[in-house]
Amino acid sequence: MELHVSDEARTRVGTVLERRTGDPVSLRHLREYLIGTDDREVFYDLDSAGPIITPPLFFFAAMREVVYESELYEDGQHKTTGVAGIEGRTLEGGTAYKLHHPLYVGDVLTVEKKLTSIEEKSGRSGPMAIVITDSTFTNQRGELVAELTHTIIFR
Amino acid sequence: MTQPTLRSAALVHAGDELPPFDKHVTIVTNFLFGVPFWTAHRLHYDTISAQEDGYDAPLIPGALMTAYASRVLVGWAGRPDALRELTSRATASAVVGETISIRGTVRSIEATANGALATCDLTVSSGERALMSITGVVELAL
Repeated sequence: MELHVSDEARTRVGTVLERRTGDPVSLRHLREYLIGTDDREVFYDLDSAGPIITPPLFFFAAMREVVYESELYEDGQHKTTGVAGIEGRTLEGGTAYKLHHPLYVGDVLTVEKKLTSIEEKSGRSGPMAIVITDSTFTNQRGELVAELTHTIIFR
Repeated sequence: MTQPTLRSAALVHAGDELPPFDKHVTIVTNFLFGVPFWTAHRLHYDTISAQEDGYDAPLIPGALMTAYASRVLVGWAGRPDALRELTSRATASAVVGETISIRGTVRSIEATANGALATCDLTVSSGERALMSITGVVELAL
């Protein structure tokens, strides 16, 4: 996939790209995440009758969008990675998390993602676009759970 | 279950080392993480796609490395809600078959109204190759 940055994408810098409310955090999803990260900490008591806390970065997995195959690019990339109108092979550039309030099983998150910047430049391997988004994650009580600044490099 | 308790700031000093973390990552590791993280990108499970992109094998997701780093930080701090900030900067890629190592030290400790915050520097590496630099801020008890 060749790098392409549309004019429309450039005009969306500084705007909200999406506001989406997810599904309630499930015990099943938490169990999969703990196994997926090989996490056996005693903090996460899945049999507890009380509130069950999730790992600090779980919120990001909880809000990853799940779509049909027909809505993915041929290489499996999600079309809403970064911003609509920017295409290319992606590399993780970096993340900055600020964590404000724990997330528990049963909570419902709402994410609001803004496009902060698109920097187009030429690298050693050719043209690239460095895309930065800023997202907030809020629970059903209106409490700010986390903020995420995400840098994705499109080549 | 006993309630987890925060590590006391009185017992922590700049330069203290965090517990080491090592994990041999396989294609199955990528699959197991890909389920909850919904990693559909072929680069993380399809060897041919990875090789077409110039890698020897499927790429280890950056989000898996930061998840491992967060484990190190909260495991050391003593409570899952101890992590306040985590900033990562990727410097190189790693592929399945490599062993990810995380080493960290306490950079500084700052007193707050209710306790203390420890800023820690972590490096994620594979052998001699640095993959990611991470700064984490965790809450400690007074």
